[in-house]
Amino acid sequence: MKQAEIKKTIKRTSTKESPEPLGAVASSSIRVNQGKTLEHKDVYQTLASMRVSVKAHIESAYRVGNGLLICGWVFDPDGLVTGLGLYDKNTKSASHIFYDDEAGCRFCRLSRPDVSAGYPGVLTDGDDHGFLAYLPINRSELPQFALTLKSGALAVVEHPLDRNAQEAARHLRPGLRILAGPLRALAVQIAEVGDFVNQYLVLPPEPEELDFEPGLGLTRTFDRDAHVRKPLTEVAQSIKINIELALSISKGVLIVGYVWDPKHAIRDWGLAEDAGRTGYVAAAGHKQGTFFRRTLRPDVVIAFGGDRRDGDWCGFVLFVSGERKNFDTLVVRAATGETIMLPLAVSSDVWGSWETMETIWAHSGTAIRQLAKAALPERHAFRDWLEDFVAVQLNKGGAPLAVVEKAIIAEDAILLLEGWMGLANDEITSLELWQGSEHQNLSQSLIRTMRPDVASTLGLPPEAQPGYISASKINRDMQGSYRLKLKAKDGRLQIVFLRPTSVDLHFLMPTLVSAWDDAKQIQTHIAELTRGTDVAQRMGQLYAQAFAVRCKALPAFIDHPLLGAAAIDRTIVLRENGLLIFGWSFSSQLAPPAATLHTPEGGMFEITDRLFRLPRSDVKQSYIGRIPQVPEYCGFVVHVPLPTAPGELRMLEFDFGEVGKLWLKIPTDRTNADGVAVVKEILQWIPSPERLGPRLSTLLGNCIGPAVEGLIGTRKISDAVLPVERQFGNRSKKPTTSIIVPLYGRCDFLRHQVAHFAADPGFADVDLIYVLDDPAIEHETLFTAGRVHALFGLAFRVITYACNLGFGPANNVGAQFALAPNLILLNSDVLPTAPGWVAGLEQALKSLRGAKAVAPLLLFHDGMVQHAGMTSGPCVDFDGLLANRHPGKGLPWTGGDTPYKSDLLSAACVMVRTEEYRKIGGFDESFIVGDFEDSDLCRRLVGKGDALYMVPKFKLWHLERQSQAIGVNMSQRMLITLLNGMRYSKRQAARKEI
Amino acid sequence: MRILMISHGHPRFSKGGAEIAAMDLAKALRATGKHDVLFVGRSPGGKLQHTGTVFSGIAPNELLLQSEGEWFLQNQNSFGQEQVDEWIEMLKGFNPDVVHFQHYAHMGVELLRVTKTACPTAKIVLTLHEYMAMCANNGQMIKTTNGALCYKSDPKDCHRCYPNHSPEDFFLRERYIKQMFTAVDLFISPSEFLRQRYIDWGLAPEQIIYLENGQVPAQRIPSRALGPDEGRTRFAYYGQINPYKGVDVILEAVKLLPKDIKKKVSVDIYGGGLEQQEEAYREKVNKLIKDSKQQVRYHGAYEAEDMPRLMADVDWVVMGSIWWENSPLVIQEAYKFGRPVICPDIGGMAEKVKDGVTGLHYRARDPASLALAIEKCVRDATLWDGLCGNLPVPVTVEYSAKAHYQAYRSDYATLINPIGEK
Repeated sequence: MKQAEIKKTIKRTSTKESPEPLGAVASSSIRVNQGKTLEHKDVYQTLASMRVSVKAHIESAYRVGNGLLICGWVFDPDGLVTGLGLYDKNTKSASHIFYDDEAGCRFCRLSRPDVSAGYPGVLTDGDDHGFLAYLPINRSELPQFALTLKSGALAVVEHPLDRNAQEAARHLRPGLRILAGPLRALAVQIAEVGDFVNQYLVLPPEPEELDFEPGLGLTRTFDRDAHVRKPLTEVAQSIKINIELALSISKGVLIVGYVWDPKHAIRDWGLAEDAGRTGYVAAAGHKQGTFFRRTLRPDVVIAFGGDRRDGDWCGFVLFVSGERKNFDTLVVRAATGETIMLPLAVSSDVWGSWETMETIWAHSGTAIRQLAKAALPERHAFRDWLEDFVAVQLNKGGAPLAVVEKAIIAEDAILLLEGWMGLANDEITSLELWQGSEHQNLSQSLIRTMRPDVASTLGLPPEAQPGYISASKINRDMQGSYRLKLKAKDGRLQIVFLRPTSVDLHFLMPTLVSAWDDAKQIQTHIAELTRGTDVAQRMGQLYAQAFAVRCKALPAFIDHPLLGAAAIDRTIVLRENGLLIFGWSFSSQLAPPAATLHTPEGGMFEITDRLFRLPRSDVKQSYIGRIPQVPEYCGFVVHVPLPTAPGELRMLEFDFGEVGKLWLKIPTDRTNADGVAVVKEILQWIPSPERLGPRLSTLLGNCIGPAVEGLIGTRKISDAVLPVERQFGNRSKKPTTSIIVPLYGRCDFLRHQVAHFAADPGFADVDLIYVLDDPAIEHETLFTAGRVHALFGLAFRVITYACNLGFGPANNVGAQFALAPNLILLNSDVLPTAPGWVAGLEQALKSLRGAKAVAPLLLFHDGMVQHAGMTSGPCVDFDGLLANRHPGKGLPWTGGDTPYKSDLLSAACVMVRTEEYRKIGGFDESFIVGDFEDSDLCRRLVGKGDALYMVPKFKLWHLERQSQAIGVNMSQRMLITLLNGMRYSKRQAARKEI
Repeated sequence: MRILMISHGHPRFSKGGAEIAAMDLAKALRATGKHDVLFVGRSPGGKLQHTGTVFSGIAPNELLLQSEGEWFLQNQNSFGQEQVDEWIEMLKGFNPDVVHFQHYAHMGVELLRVTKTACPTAKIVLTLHEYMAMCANNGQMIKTTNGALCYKSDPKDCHRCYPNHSPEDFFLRERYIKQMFTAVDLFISPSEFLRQRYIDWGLAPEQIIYLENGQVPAQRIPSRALGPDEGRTRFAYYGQINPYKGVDVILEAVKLLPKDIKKKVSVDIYGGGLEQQEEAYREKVNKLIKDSKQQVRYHGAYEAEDMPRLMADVDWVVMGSIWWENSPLVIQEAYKFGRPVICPDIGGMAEKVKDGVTGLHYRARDPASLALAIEKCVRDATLWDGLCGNLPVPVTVEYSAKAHYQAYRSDYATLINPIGEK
C-alpha cells in the first residue's frame, strides 16, 4: 500500500492532550524520517508515540494550467479535522479552505478503503478519507497544506510539486479506479485537466448513464415516476428522492438516501406512519430522538448534472428513535404546498442489508457511524454489527483471515465448513457461526488439519495445520443466511457470508476421506451432535464407507521423511481371535508414536503397549545411513484381540502427536485354514528369536500363545480325519493291551520294533497299532509293513489318514481303534531290551496302589538312563517357563527294580487304562507337533490319591531325537517346543491357583 | 540227515571262498551216502532265473534263489508275502533237520528267523566268514577314515566311519542283526580269531565253534629243483588284486631290499581284479611293478585248477593283506602243496601260520618288515627246508563233512580241532 511509504513530512500540531501551547505549530514542526521509505509499522509507532491521531498524505500535487491538481487523503479516526486548506505562512493560519465550486475550487471526497486497511486497530471511522481537489492558484512556491482542527489548531503538511506530468500520472495511477469518476468530472470542467488526463492516464471505461460503479454512484436506475406522485407542479417535479436503505433496528428506524432539490422546492420532509396520515416526523426538525446528517453526494450531482453548489450535500442519513414506530411513508412538503408521499418499505433484516450498506458506505458510512454512536447505546447490536461491517470493509483487499472452501448443510442438520486460515488456534479470539440473530461458538470444536498445499503457499512449517474443518448443528427452523465471524487476537476480523448447499449426508464423504487423520473425530463429533437421530447412525455407515475408500489407497509400507517409517510384513488373520501383525516401525521424532488399530465401525484399539519389539537388523541396516537413530529393536509383533474375518478392513495409525500421523493398511486377505500351519508360519515370522533371550518365552506366552490359543486351543483334529485301517495278519481274539505307535518321518522303526516284538511270545495278546501321521511316506510305510509282516508274521494294524496331526492327535486316533483294556503309548524309536515287558507293565498297573499310569525305564542306546520319571520346575533360561526335569538322565541306572512314584511320565512309553484315557479325551491336541502334552496328560490323569509309577524292572531302549540346543540355533521346532511349554506352564499355574 | 545248505552264491557263477566251501561241504556230505543235502545258492539273477518264482532248480538237489538284500542293515529286501510263503513251502517240502546258512548277505538276516519259525525243530547253523554283522565296512573291520585296523565294534565309533549314519542307526543295525541271530542255534567260525571277535561282540561262547574249511586233498608238489649256487629266492603272491589284499605292500617291500638280495629274488604276482580297482590304486600298483621290473612279474588271473602248476616254480607264498582275514584259502593251499607262507602278524593269518614253524610273520602293513623277512629267507639257506618239514596237512573235505555232521548233532565233545593235525 502506498500509504505505507510515507515520505512526507508531517508537521505536528498540539492536540487536546498535548502540553504544548497552540500557535507553536509551525516553529515546532518535526520532520519525521524525511526522504526515507519506512515500513508502515515504523511510521505508525512513531506517530503514535507523538499522540498524533490525524494522518495526512498528499500523493500528488501537480500544476495543471493555472491551478493545482491535488490528490491525497486525510485519516482522521477521532473526527478532529474540520477543514483542509492552504497554509498561510504570514498569518500562520489556513486560507483557501477547500470547498467545492467556491472561487473556482473543485473538491471531491473519495472512499479509500486502502488507507483504512493500513491502520488496523486504530480505525474507528468510515473510509471516505480520500480527496481530489483542484485549486485555481498560481504560485511558484511550495504549497503547504493546513488541516484545521476542532481545537482551532493547525496541522501543516508539506509536499513537493510533482515535477512533470509523468511523475504526477505515476502517483495517481494506483488509485485510478477510485479516482476515475471525479477525474472524469474535472476533466469536463477544466480543459487543462482534461488534456492531462487524456494524455497520461487511461481511465476505466465510463459507466452507463445512471449506473455508477459500486461505491461511487447509484446502484439502481432512478425512476422518477415510481417515486413521485402525480400530478405535480414543475417545481415539485424537479425534486428527486431516493431511499437507499430503510432499516428497522432495535429502538428506531434508519433511513439513508438523497433528496435532490436543485430548485429549493422543499419546505420540509420527514417520515410518517399509517400511509402518511399520522406520526409525521420531520427529518431535519431537530426533534428529540431524531438524528439527521447531510452527506456529500457528488455522485448524485454528477448523475443529475446539476449545479454543484445546490446539490453537493444532498445525501442524508436519518435515524428516528422509538420502539414501536411503524413508518411506512416518506412525506415531502414542497414550498408550493404540494405534498409528495412515497411508500417506505422498512426492512428489519440487518444482515440482509449488508450488500446495500456496502454500496452506500462510501458516501454515507461516516455519517451512519456517527449517528449510531450518538443515537444508540454502547452495546447495541446494530453498533456491533456496524463495527463488524467496518472491520470487514477494512480488511478488503488484504489477505483474508480465513477461506471457506466448502460449506454444505447435510441432512438439514449439520453445517460442515472446510477451508483454511492463516491463524493458529491460539491466535483466534472467537469464531462464531451466526444463524439469524443466534450464534454459536465454533472455536472449541474446530478441527485443524494438515494442508500441505496451503502450508507451502504460506511458507508455514510442514507440521502446521492451516486447514480446518468444522461441523455444527444448525437449527433447521431458522431461515436466513449464515455468517462466519472470525476475530483474531490482533484485532482483525473477518465475516464470511455462507451460502451452503443443502445436501445428502454422503457429501461429507470427500471430507472424511481427504482429512482422514481427523475423520474419526469428525464422525464422533457429528454423531454426538445428532445423537438419537438416524443421522448419527448413518454417519457411522458413512465413516465405514470412507474407511473402505481410504483403506484401499493405503500402503502397507510407508517412509515419511519427517515422521519415520513403518511397514506391515505379515498379518495373520485369526478370525474370532483377532489379528497377529508382524511389522516394523521407527520414529524420526523424539517420542515414539501411539499406535492404534482402526475398524470401519469406528472401533479404535490402542496397541502401543502391546507391541512386542523384535530385533530387525535388516531394517536398521537399510536405514542407518539416512537415520542413524533407527533402533535395533524396530520390529514388532502385536496381537490385537479384535475379531477379524479375512477381508475385513483394518488400518493401523501411528500418531506422532502434533507432528502428524502415519496410516498403514493392515492386509487381511490371506489366511490359512489349518491351525498348525498358521502357528508354524507365525513362528517363521519371528526374526532372530535367539536374540530375544529369556524374553522369548514372554513373547510366546503372552503374545503369540494367546493369539493362537483360540485357534488351536479347543481343537480336536483327530475327530476330523478319516482314518483307514489296514490289518496285517490275524488280530488277537482277546488282547490284553493295545500298543499305539505313531510314525512320522521314517518308517524303518516299524521294521525294528516288529523284529523285536515278534521274538516276544507276550505279543500274542497284544493289539499293535501303528498310526501313520505322515501321508508323505504312506506308500513306503505300507510296503515296509507288508514286507515286515511277511518276514516276521507278527499281526499289527496300520492306521493312515491324509494329513499330519502331530503326536497327541495321532495317539488319539490310534486310541479310537484300541481293542484292549490297557493302552501303551509308545514311540517308534523305542525297542525292548527283553521280552515280557508288556505283561510286566500290565501287572504293575493292576497291582500298584492308585496307579493311573506305569512306565518302564528307558535307556539310551549306550545303556545310560534316558527316562526314569520326570518332575517339572522353573526354567532359568526363559521367564515363566516350566521345564521338565529328568532325574538321572544320561547316567548309569543304579536304582534297582522296585517301582516308585514319579511326578510325570514320558509318553515315549507309558501304559494307561484305555477307558481312562478315553474318558479324559486323551491328549490335549492343542499342543502342536508334540511337546509337553504328555506332562499335561499326566496331570489330567491323576486325581486325589492317584499316582504315576516308574517300573524300572522293565527296560527299553529309547533312541530319543537329538536334543535341541536352546539359544544356539533357534529352529522352528524349538520355538514350537517353547510355545507348548509356555502353554503348559500357564495351565499349570492356573491349576495351582484353583 | 536232511541238510539244507544255503549259500549267498552258487560256485558255478560266483567263485568266492565261502561259496566254494559251501558246495564242497555239500558234496562231501552227500558223498557219505548218509545225508540228503539240498543246496540253495543265491542266483546272480537275470536270465538264469525262472520268472515269477523265487526258486529255480538247476540240478535235482540244487536250487537257485532269487533274492536281494539291503547292504547296511543286511536285511531282506525283495521278499513279499508270496516269496516268504515260497521259502516256507520249500522248507516244509524238504523238511530239513539242519539248515546251514553259509552266509546271509543278499538274502537278509531275517531268513534265519523265518526259517526257524517255519521249522522250529530244525537246527539253524550259520557259518561266519568275515565281520559283516559288526562292521558296515564290508565286514573288514578297517576304519573308513584312515584305513586303520579296527579292534571293536561300537555304534559311536561306527558313526565316525559313516557320519551319514547316526550312532542310533548303528545301534539299530546291531540290535536288528543280533535279534535275527537269536534264531541261530550254532555259529561256525573257520578261525579261532574270528570266533573270538564274535564272542566279544556278544555271541555266547558255547554257541560258536571253530571249524576249519575242508580242502579237496591233493599231492604235495616236489620242491623246486635248484641250480648251482641257487637259493630259495622265488616268491609268489596268489589272490585278488585289491587294497585289502595288500599286493602293494609286497611290491613296496621289494623296492626296499638290499641290492645283493634284489639281484637274487623274483616275485610273481598271480591274480586278477586290478582293472576293477580305482584309478589311483591301479596306477600305484602299475608303477610299483615297473619300478621293480627286474624282480617282479605280473601274470594276471588264474584258475584254481592251475594252482599246482603255478606253485611248482615257487619257493615261498607271500601275503600282503592289511585286514584281519579269517581263514585264507591261500594258506590252506600253500600247506596242501608244500610251500611255507610269509604273512602279516594279525588275525586269521597269524593264527594259521606259525611264525618260524610253518612260515614267517612280518609286521602287518609294513613293507620294511616284509623286506627283512624276505632277506632272511634268502640269506638263511637252511630256513626253507626247516619250515617245509613242519607244514601241516590241511583239513580235508571229508573230514570237514564228518566234523560238521558231529556239530549238527551237537556232538561237540568229540569234535577235534583239526588244525595242527598232520
